[in-house]
Amino acid sequence: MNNKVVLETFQISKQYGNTKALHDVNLKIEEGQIYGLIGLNGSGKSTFMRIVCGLISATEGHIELYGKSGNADLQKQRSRLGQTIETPALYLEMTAYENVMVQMTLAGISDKKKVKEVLRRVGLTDTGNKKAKNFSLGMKQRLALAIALITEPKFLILDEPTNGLDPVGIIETRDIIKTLAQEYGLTILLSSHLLDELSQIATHYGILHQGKLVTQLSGDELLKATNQYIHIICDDAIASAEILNAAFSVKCEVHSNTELRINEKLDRIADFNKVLVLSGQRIEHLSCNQNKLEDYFLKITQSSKYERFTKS
Amino acid sequence: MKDLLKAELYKLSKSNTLLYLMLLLFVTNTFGIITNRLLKNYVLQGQDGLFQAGTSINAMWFGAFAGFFIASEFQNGGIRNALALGKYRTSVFMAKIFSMILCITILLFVIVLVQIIGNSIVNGYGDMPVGEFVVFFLKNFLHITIFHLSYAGFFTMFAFLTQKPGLTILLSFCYETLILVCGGFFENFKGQNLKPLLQFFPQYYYTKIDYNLSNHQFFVNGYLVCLLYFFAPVIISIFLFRKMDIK
Repeated sequence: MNNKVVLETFQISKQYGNTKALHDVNLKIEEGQIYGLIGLNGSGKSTFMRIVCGLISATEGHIELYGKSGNADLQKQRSRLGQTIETPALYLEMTAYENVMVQMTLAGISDKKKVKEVLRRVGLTDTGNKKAKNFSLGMKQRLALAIALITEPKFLILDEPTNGLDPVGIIETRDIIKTLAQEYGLTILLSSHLLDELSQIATHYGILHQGKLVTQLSGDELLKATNQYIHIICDDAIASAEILNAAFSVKCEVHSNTELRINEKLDRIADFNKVLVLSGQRIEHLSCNQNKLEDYFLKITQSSKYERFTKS
Repeated sequence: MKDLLKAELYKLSKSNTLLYLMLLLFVTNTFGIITNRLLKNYVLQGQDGLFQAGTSINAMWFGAFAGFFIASEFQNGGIRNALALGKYRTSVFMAKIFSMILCITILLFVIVLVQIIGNSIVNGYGDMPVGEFVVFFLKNFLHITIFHLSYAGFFTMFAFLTQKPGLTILLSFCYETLILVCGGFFENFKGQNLKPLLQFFPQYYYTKIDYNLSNHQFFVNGYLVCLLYFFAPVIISIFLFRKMDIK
């Protein structure tokens, strides 16, 4: 069964003077996905999010939110959005409670109990009369999240939510986002430059590079694409490959006299080890490798750079 | 729109900007009354105190208010939060301009009270009967408020177009100076008679009010000119704000 499409963009481009910040971005996010937008600084992530939130207009292309397009309909659908884009949008002279109250009033919600509930959800119940200007960056990020959540959004847009946070803050924010997705069923679009961090939360990914959406893939597709393999260093790689092929019908890649790789049946690594040792092979190294998301990202973006170079 | 206005009022009630401005206006106006008394510049009785509310120094503070209350909303993300919540840009602008008008009215009321009470204490109240004074007060307070709207429209436009508090305050100051310089130039130009042009400037209807208290047409013209100075920048601002990128 197809999930409902929350956001779909069609050939979205944005030009600032002579600089094209986004090039024909076609992106699709379905209900319940945690969509991670990956890209270097200046790759167009924030520009894209701003277009979705209606803060800037696209030079070309159009977007659909919950199947609706056109300025008036889009703006109406945006009442289902919650967002924190770049710096947390806060009134620094106000307390956490008052900051959330402003957004609650804007949204026309009158139940004040919700303010305390949402502050509890992000772990800011004990801030009392402390003004937001005296909050740590992590607290400010969490307050911005509380402001985004008070309107009970169905679709949450978070731009670099862990930016500038210490490791504890990163873990806390990640846990909050996971909880929101799991317990409240929110669809989430988030960007981060901490790519491995993103891989712990996201279910789907889009890689944005120099304004272009280089690729879109699911979590499973990413696992395949990140090239998992068993790496073996032994006395005789060719002999070992023959032994493993005979025993397990696996195809081995022999990289040198002493090094081979296996790209399948990764869960049988212990059996491979046992058979090779029993066959008299001396194993110096055996490990299951997975390229980090950063490596994959670099590979993708560098190849796209190469493609552009060769095309021109 | 109702929710936007309620949120603006909530922010005003929680922000110190309005309170600090009230204190500043109280202090500067009290200082003016005392200085006038000590230097014997002129004697203004309490009943005429409300005419002191329209000075350029007071208007300058309203420019500062526009900077801190409106332009800062672009910096702290308030505008971003409203728009991303599905609020229409025209509604966001209207809520801001309404709250600006409300605050200017409150601040003017404070100034007028300080001027009436302060001058009454220092120079005496005057001889106008209380009933007559109430009518006089209401009519002229409305006139002064509308006069200040002619500034509010431009100050709000500067806040929306620059999106920066400092630049809003600077442009507001430049605008006021320009208006004063133009007025002075047309008033004092020795060659061709340029004085009729003064009627196209709001401050003409403030500075000449003393001589035209019973001139109905003068007030009508004054309201029209002031409202034109208010609506023209408001319409331009709404048009530009609807197209503008929000950072």
